[in-house]
Amino acid sequence: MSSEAIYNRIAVLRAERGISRRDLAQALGVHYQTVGYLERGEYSPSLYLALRIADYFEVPVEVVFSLKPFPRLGSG
Amino acid sequence: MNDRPGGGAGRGRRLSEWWRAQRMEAVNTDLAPGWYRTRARRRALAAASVALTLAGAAVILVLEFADAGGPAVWALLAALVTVVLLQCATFSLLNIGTRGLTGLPERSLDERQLAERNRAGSLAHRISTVLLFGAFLGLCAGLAVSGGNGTAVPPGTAIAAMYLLAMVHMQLPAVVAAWRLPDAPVDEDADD
Repeated sequence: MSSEAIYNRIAVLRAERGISRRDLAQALGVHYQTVGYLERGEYSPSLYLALRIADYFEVPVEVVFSLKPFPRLGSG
Repeated sequence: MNDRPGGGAGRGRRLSEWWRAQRMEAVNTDLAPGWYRTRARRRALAAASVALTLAGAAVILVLEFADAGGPAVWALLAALVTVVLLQCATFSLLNIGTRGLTGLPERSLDERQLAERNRAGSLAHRISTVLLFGAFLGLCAGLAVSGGNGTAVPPGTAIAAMYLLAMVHMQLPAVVAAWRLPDAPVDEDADD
């Protein structure tokens, strides 16, 4: 990944809440492939889209996005 | 201005929206996913599109030397029609493979698609510029060789060159977009 990589937990949050990629895409008004590219870290969203994603999951934006990799579950 | 419901402007707007929805649906319907699902397949389609463009120009070029009204002319015209039809099919597959990235109006695309469309358009523009400049230099060189008497470029060659440039101009953004796009994420909601 490039030095400008932005890590995210969209896939985790989506799985936790049982939301499909298409449902999330529809709620955000983006193409469902865009959600896939976001989850794979192959596209970094605009600030506006990042805030809308956080708003959709009702969490602060730093819960969804980070400049550093998120710790794995159980790694303390 | 006619803003009455059901008036000319309203009908035009509805027709435009209907057409936009049809195009959206067309590029998001997987008719032959095996042809464009992976990056390698999309690149093969992009290469085929370029090859067909060159083939079309070559047929036009050869047509110039065929005897008018002879069987060779009809065979070449049939070949040209075949090439153009194959080109239409390839271009349609490229559009579906890129989900209308370069063909749909801006308001139908999201921010990632718009960014990718801008990158593809910018690269295609640079390539087109080089090709156009090359054609310009070729024309100048032809005129210089002939002494500027206006017969340097045979009509068939000029038509083939214009066909090539027009096709490149039309298809290059889609070709570049198809070439650049990474493998699409697996559609976990698909029925298949």
